[in-house]
Amino acid sequence: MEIKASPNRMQLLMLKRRLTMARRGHKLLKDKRDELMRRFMELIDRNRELRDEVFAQLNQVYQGFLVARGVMSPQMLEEAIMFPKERLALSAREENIMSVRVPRFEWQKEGEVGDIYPYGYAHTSAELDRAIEALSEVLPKMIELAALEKSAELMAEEIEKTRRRVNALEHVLIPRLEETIKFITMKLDETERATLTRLMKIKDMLQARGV
Amino acid sequence: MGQEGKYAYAVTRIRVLETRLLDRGKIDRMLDARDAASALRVLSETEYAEVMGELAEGERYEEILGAELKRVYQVVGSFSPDPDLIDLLRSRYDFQNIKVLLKAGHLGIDRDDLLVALGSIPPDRLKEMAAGDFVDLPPAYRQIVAEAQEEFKSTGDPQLIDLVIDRGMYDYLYTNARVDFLRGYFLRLIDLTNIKTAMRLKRSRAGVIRWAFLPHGSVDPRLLLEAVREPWDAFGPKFAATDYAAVVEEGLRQLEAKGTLTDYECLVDEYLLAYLRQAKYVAFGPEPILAYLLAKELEGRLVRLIMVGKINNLPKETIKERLCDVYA
Repeated sequence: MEIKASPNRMQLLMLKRRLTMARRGHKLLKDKRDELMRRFMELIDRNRELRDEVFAQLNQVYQGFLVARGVMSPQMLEEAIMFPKERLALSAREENIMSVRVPRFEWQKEGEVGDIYPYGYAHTSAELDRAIEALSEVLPKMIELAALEKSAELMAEEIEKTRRRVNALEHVLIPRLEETIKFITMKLDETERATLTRLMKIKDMLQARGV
Repeated sequence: MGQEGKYAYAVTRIRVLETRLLDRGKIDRMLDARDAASALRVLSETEYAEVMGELAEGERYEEILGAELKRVYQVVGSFSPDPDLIDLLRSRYDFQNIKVLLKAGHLGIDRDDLLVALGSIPPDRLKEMAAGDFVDLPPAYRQIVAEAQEEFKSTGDPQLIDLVIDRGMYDYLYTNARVDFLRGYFLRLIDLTNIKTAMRLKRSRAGVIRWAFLPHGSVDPRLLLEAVREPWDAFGPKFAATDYAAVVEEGLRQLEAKGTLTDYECLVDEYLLAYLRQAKYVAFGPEPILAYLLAKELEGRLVRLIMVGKINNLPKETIKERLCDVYA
């Protein structure tokens, strides 16, 4: 498989230029891929760490809620938590990692008054306190985790894309260019040889006529 | 008929109803059930069968519990010579509904699904009152609601709605419980709740909240405040002279060992049950009626706990730990 090109010197020069460009692009993309990979690995490690942490804490949250749920009627439980004390203002912006635009979340608590519990003490189970407290601790981590997971997803996509490009250059474009260059060079050499032979033949013929 | 004769019939009816409360055997069988559905089957062999009807699926136990409590209040109300005492117990659900309506009102949302139909005022009527800024409420309620509204408006803290209404409610319950037995029950409940609140405040390092403690308790509020401020070591001894020394001591021990107040809550239930049991020896009077209703509510809590445990596949021992003694 080669690129369609008429075998002339002009084309050869152009193809050679394209080949150098492709090689340079290949090297750059390969470097990008490696760096992306490295960053991705870091991200994944942190992601896993945070994920384990969040899961362990959520487990605690659910245990607390489960006990509270067992002790309180659903109406009472819902009433206790229906009006949250704090609000979270969440703003998202983009950050650039190796030209991948990943999300960054920033949050701020609003309306902090006294403690975090939005309910009275007379009819609520003490286990609810623990669940709410653990939840309040885990929420910032969950927001960070969300950003990390999305970043990892976007990075993975970018890595995949880069890898495909590297492969396309390495296994398709560069071999094709090389082959075509070889073909044109051979063709040109062939023509040159033919011309040379023709010239020599003409010279012989002229000498024979005795000019 | 004299004062005694008035109760003769009602107490007899109660004695019959009491025999239908879930006993330890039934509770144990529910605990041993393989899953939620078979636990409910055990329940369907008891007086709960009346309200269960089609609601036989495991997840619908809440509806069963609600319906059963409603039925019991209706039955007892039909023969009790003291409708106002029953209404007093029902008023707790009114306050619960009022809290929902107040919060929903401030949030601008509709949470009618959280209203319970056990109060002395039907939820629909209460909702109409809420729409009219609660001016139609009985005066005693209205004052409490007004206070809660004012506190909320000046601070914007939803916790105050609960705290003020809880305080107001216990004040209302205590002052209107004209039967010594019921008053004694509320007194113990208030004290034990206050001690629990002190533990919770201390544990959460939330600091002392002005409204957190309920009024009328026999435990001095200053003692409670001191208990919150001073180290844990000093907590137990503070209440050593009270009637609750054993409950507090054991509760604290478990809190230290397991880090939860579940055991204390259980001990409180047991303590209150022991108090209710005294009603067993009253032949004529409102005590057995009140004790029966309160025991029935506690029974509902036990069933809920078992069902929640079964649905979530908790091991039997874990559920059992939190189960308290049964009234029967």
